Amino acid sequence: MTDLVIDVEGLVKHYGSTHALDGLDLRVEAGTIAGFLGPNGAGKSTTIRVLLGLHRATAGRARLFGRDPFADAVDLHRRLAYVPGDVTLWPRLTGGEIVDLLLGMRGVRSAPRREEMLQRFELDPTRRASTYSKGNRQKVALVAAFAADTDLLVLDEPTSGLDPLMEAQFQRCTQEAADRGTTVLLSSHILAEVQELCDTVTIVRAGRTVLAGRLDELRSVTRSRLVATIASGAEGLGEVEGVHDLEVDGDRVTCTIDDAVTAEVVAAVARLRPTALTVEPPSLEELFLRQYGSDVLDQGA
Amino acid sequence: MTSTAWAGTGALCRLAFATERRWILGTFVVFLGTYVATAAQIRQIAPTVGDRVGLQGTIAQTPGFRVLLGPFEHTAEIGGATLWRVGVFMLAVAGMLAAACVVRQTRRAEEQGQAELVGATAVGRLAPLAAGLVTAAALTVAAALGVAGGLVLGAGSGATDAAAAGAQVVVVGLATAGLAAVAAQLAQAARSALGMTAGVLLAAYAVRGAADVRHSDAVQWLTPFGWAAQVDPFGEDRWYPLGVAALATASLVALAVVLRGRRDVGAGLIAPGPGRPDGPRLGAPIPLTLRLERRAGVVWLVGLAAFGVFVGSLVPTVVRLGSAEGGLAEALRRLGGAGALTDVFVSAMASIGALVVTSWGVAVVTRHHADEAGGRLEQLLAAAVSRRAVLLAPAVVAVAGVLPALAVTGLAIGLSGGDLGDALAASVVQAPAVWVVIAIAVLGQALGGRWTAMAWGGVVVATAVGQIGAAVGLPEWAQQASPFTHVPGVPADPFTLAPELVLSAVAALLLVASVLVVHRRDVPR
Repeated sequence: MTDLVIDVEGLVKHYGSTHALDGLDLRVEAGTIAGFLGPNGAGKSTTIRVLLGLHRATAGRARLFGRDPFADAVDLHRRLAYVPGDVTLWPRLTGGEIVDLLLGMRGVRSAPRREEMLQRFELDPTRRASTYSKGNRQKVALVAAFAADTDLLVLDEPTSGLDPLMEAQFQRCTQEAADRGTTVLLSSHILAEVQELCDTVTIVRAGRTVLAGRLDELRSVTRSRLVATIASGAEGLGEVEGVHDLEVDGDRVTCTIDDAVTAEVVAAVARLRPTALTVEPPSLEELFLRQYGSDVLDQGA
Repeated sequence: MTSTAWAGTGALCRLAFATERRWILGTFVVFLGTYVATAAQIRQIAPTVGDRVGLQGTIAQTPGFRVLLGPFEHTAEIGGATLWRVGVFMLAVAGMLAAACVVRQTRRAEEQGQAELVGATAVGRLAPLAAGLVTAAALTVAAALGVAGGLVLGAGSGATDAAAAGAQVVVVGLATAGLAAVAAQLAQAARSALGMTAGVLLAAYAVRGAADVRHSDAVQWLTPFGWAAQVDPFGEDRWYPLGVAALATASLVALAVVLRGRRDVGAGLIAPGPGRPDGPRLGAPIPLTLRLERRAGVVWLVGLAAFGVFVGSLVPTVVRLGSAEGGLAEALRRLGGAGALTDVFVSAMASIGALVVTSWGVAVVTRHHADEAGGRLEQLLAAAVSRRAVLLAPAVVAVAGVLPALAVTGLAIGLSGGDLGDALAASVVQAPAVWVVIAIAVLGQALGGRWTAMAWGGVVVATAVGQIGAAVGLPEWAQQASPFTHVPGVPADPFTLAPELVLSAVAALLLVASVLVVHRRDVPR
């Protein structure tokens, strides 16, 4: 049996008549980076608030390290670091003071990477929080999260407001943490970031999980996309087994192909002497949009 | 300065009025109520011209009262006495409310980012400043109408005198709004801008007080309070100080406009200096509360000590009064119970000091709600800190701070004129009542949402019932609603332990209830 750090099943949360969560499932194994995707209002932050013991679930099961996140909040929080998507700070304290404050409240005695993280995120610790921009406020929470070892990182859209250089720095830090054995829950809108970092993804919509699994497995059940430039056209390609959605626009040929017959299809295309050929596995964006696209169609029907 | 800098002022004013409406209405109601209630109090304390002339010749002559309230000049009407009793103080309140209005619409909006959003639309650079000044002017007029209405309704004053009293508010309100407009360009944080304005206004108040003690009219022209005094309601009813104030305000606004042209959105001309790069001792809720409340706490303590010195300096006058005045002595006795006049006075003043301490405590406790609404609480609770610890840290600091704060007040009274032992005892016995109101505030924070309003509700009830209740003849059962009514009136009355223990137990129960309910709800609510 695998070691589940986060184990959520059939989670329901109602705020009065609003159903924020409606049977959400989320499993994160120890040592993995889990992507948590969904549009605004899908219930990502609510799930995280339940996992942090801030909100109480209406029904369903939520376990963190096998324990009750509400009852055992303080003990559990010694093992995790949290970065919210919109970090608000104490305006009169300095960035350095707040980093130490957050570390201290987590029960961290020594933070070996504090100075390193301040440098890597280019954060001036002597400036007062009231003078920080949104990106700098995010950095304060990120520095505190990465400065000391932790068993779990809970990141709720952590890179909002960061520039591309800092975004890349964040990805490196997250990967390094994972290499040290830290489990990561990364809620994000930035699909490239999730695709780059995550081992598994969970896609939620309207308070429910609509797709979950290892990223490579999810990709394999979906067809790859083939794009070729063939002067002679796509003669006979439509009859090859495993080729779908064939479109020909002048010399530009596109189709989707089943993974199992990739070799045969490519060989068939090669016989047509293409001047350019790319075969790409489905991007996360395609997975994501396909999920929402079909739901939108379902609703329309 | 091009005319486009003011573009969109109209639209922005409508937006500003939408957010400032409740402040404007609230200001009108509070000013009206204060003047009606004060007039009623004067009717009780000094109903005849003879009583008021007696006040004028005795207590109003003391330096303490001249500094605090200004000279008592017009005794013929209740309205003149009412204006003496609260007039100058309420001018300062109106000024600060107008200043807060300007700062909210300018510096606060920049701090929170709305200014950037609005600035990106077809709205000029100076439009927020204009909107702030327009709403501040409206608030000032609302305060002036409250004063005039209160004098007409409560004191039966004539329209001209009431209007002149309102004009005084306009003089100080506009000038302070202009001051705030400049401060909002200098400081980078809204809080600093407001603090800067308050500092200048307080200095002006002190200069006016010193000038009133020394009877030096020339110095009076230095401050808006002096211009307001020139209006002289119930006397000459002059109107030209309105012109002086308008000129001063226009100059300050012009300065603010020039300064605004020289800076970027969000930037201040005085940038805060660098602070500590680390905070090794902040990693627990109580040290964090202490760090955040440190500066404000010192300001409150200095204020309490100043209040104590003022009260102590009055004691010799009260001793002299004891043998003479009928009406005033009677009223003071009614405020505090039976006993020698000095003892009653010290006891009554100690309970006012205790209300100030209560306000400090409640301000500390409500930090919990501010942190919850601001999203900071979520980050603390996501760390290894329990809800109980986060809720109780400000409560512990407030409860523990009560005794030292009361002791400082008592010591200041005792060392500056009263009997040291009596003054200290009179102040310290108030502690359990203060704890009860603080504990009510804690329960409000624990319940969250709109229950947090309980915090200041408790202070308002304690003030209204405890301080004004007896003076306006509130029925006995209603007076019992304030915990301060149950505290023994030491030194006028003998000390009794039972009410002290009962009040402490009530406070403890409320705190226990708070801890229980805070574990039952969602955070943030």
